[in-house]
Amino acid sequence: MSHLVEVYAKDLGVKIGKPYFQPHYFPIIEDEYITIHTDNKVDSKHYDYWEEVIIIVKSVFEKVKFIQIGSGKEPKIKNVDSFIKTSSIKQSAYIIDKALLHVGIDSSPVHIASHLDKPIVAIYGHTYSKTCDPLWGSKANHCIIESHRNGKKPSFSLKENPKTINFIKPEEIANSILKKLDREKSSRETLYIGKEYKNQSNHIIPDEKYDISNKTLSIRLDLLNKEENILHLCTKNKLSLIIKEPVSDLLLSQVNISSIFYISDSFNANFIEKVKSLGITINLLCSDKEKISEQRYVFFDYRIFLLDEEEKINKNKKKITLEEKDFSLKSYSLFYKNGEVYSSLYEANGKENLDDIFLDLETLMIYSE
Amino acid sequence: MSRSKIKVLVQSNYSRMVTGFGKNMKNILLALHKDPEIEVVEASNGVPYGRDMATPWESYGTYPSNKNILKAVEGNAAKKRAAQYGFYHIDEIVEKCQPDVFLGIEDVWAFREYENKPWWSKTKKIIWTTLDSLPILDHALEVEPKCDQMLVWASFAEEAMKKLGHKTVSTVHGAVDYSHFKPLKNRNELRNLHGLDSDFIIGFVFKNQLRKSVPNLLEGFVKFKEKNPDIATKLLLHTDWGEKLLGWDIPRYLKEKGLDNGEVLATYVCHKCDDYFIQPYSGEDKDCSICGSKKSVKTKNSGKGVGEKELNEIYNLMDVYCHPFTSGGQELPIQEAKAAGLITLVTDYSCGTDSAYEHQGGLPLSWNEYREPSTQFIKATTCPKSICDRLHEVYTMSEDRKSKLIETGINYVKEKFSVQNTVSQLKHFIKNVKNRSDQGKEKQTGNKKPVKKTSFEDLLEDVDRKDRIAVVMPESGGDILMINSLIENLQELYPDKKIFFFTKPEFFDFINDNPFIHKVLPYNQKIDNLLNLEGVAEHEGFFEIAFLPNVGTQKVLNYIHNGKDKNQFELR
Repeated sequence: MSHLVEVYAKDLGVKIGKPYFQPHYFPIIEDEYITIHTDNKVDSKHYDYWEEVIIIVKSVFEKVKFIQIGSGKEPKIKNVDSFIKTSSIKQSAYIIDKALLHVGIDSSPVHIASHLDKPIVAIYGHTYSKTCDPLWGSKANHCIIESHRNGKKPSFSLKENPKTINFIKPEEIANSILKKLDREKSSRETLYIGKEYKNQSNHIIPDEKYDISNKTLSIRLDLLNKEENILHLCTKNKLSLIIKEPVSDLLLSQVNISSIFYISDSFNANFIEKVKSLGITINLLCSDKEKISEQRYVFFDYRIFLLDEEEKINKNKKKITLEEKDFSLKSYSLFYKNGEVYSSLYEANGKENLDDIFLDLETLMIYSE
Repeated sequence: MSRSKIKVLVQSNYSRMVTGFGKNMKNILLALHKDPEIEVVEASNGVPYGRDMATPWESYGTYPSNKNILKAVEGNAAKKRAAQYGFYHIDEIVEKCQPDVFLGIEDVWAFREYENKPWWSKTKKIIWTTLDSLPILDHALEVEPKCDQMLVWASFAEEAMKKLGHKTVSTVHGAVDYSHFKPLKNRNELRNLHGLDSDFIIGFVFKNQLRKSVPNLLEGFVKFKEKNPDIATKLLLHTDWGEKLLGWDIPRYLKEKGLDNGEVLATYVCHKCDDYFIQPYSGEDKDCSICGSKKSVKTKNSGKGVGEKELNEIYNLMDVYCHPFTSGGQELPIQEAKAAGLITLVTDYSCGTDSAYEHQGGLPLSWNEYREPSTQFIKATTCPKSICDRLHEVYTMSEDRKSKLIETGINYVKEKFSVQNTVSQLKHFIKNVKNRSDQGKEKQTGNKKPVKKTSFEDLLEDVDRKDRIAVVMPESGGDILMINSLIENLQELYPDKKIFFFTKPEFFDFINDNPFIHKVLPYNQKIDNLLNLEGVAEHEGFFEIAFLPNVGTQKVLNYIHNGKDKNQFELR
C-alpha cells in the first residue's frame, strides 16, 4: 500500500527524506505528561470517548498528567489536566517533544511526534491507517489503532453515521498507552456505548419533592403522575414534561415549562391547543404503530413520531446480552428517585428489570472490570 | 404489476412551510391523501434528505445533507439554487418511489435541466408553475413541450401562452384553505381590544419584497388622508418590517412621506408565547408584555408568523384590503381577505386579473407599465391616485353595495380557489396524463465555461521563468510536513532551480524552516491549473515545472487502491 508520502514522492520523482521543522520554546512545568490531541474539523476523525481513555490510564498510572494541545479551536476533552492553547504549531511541537508520549487522531501533531521520535498512539477510523500513519522515528515507538469498521472498508467521508472511529474501545487506546509506558494493562472491558451516551439530562421521577435549582429537568410524569411534587421546581428550573395524560391548568400555567413530550395513541386536541396557546412547545409521540398515520393526519400541523417501547426493548436486546454478566453502568443522565440520585433508570428502579436498561440503552456505557 | 392507486410524487415546498407553495402543498396533499384513487409521496424542497418529516404519507427532503455535496454547492450560486430546488436528490427519490406521475410545483426555473434526467422520459409529468409577468419567460416556453401537462396558477399566463401557440396550458389556482378565513361576529370587540376603535383600517398582508408596491401604497394613503382630513384612518402593514436587505425599509419611507408612526401599524408576534399585537412600529426584539420574555417580540417574518386563526382576526380588524404589486403568482392574501369578508383593491395586472374586478368581489387599481431593468419584463407600478380614489369609493360606498361586493368575493373564493376545486382539477389532469401515451423529447445543449487566466508574475519576478519550480499543497499540516521531507531531494535533483511552495497561510509554519524552499506563497484556487502554471500554446506559463501533488490525494482520491498497490523501486 502506498503511503501518502510515497504518492507525493513518486509525483515529485524523489526519495523521501526528513522534514525541516524546528519546535519553538514554550514554558511548561509538568514533567510526566502525555500530550493528547483531537479536532472536530473533520467530524469522522473526532473520537468521542477520550475522557474514558484518560480515566482508565490514570486508574493504573495515577501520577501521569494529560495535556491537551491545539490552537484552542478544538473541543476541550473532559478530564485533561490542562489544555494548552498555542499560537503556533511549533510551540505545540515543543510541548510534544517534552512529553512521555503523544496520543491523538490522524493529524499533524502525530506526524510532528514521529519527526521528534516520540512514542505515539494514533487512532484511525474513516481512512486506511497505512496511507497516513506516522512516518519518521523508530517504528517500535508507534502504536497504530485502526477501527474494525464492522469489517467494512473506510468511508473516506468527512461525516459518518455511525462514526467508525468510535468503534475503538477506550481500553484499547488506554492499554496501548500503558504498554508504551511499561505499565500494567487495565482490566476494564467496555461492553456497549450508546449513541447518545454523552447527552446530559436530569430526570425527576416525582415520588417526593426534590430540592433542585438552576437545572434543566425532565419531569417524568409518564412514570409517576404526581404533579403536586413538582410545582415547587417550576420557579427555580427550566422544565420539560414527559406525560401520558393531559396535565392540570395549574401546572401548565407555570412560567418555566419550555416543552412537553406527550405520549399517547390518541391525542387530546383541546389539551394540545391549550398548550400551544400558552407558548409551550409540544412534541407528540404516538405509542401505537397502527394509529400513527391517522393521528398524523388529524394533527397535521405537528410532527408526530412513533414511540414503541416494546419494539425498542426487543431491538436493543439484539445489540447486547446482559444476563449472567457482572457489569457496571455509566451515563451522563441523572435519575432522581427514592430521595437518591442514580445514573440510570435501571438503578433508580432497584436493578430489578433489565428492560429498563434496554429502554435507555443509547444513553448508557456498559462495562465490566 | 399494476397498482390499484395512481402514485403521484409531488415536489414543492415542504407542506409545513408557511409560504404560498408550502400552504398549497399542505392543502392538496391533505386532500389527495384521502382520495381512494391516489397515493401521494411528498418531495420537499428545502428539507435535508434523510430527515424524518413525520407526514401521514411517504415523504423525502430534497436538500443535500451530505457534507461533501454541501461543500460543493457552497459558494456557487447556481449549484446552491439547484440544491434548494432539489436537483441533486430528486433522482434517488424518483428511483425509490417509482411514481406514475411526477407533479412539480415550483417556479419554472426550478425544473431547469430536468429534461436530461434519466427518469424524465420514462415518467409522466405535470409542471404546475407560477408565471407572473409578460412576455412569458423563455424557459417556460421550453419546458412546456417537454412535460405532459403544464399548469399555471393565473389565467393571464394561460392566455399569454396560448397566444404563443402553447394551446394545452391550463390554469389551476393554488389551493386556499379558506375555512379559517371568515367574517367574525366579534369584529368590533377585537378592534377595541387592539385600540382601533372606529378608525377606517386599510390593510395589506405581504412578505416584505420589492415587488410589493409599498411606496405606492404609502403615497396613495397620504393622498387619501389629504383628500379626507376628517376621516380617522390607519394603515396596517402585516409584514416583516425588519427585512431591509431584500425588502422595503418601511420606517424610512414613513419618514419620507411625512407619516406619523402612529398612523401606520405593524403586527408583532412573540416568539415565546405566540401572542400577537397590533401597534405602531417601534423596532424589533421587544420585550413581551404578556409572557414577560425578553427581546422575543418581532414583526412577523418568514420564520415566525401568526396562525391562521389569528391571521383571520387580523383581516377582521380591517375595513378594506389593498394589494398593490408589480406582478405575482397568485397572492394568497387576496383570497384570504375576500374570504374574511373584505373588499379587495388589487392591481389588475398579472395574477391580479383573477381577483381585481367587481364580479370577483374586488375593485381594480390602475397602473402604469415599466420594464424591470434586469429582466426587461413588463411590471406594473400602481397609481397612488387610483389607490386614493378606490379607498374613497369603499369608504363612501352604500352598505347595500358593500354587502353585495363582499358576498360576491366570498362566493368567488369558494368557487374558484377552494381546495376542493383545485384538487378536483388536479385529479382530472393526473388521471388524464397517466393514461396518455409517451411523447418525444427535445434535447438541449449547454454552454461551455470560459477558462479563467491567473496572473501573479509580480510574486515570482526575482527568478527567471525557466529556473522556477512550483510545488502546490494547499493543506493540511500532515501533508505539508510530508512534502517538506521531499524538498531537499527535489533541490538535489534540480540544483539550478528555485522552489516556490504554495499553501494556505495557516500552514506556513509547517514548511518555512526548510532551507531549500525559495519562497512560500499563499495558495489560491486559481493555482490548481497545471497548464496555466507551466504554459500552453501562446501562454508561456510561470514555471518550468509545476507539481500539484494535491490533485491525486485531495481533489480526487487517486491513491487508495484498496491498499493493494506496490512499488518496484525503493522510495525511502
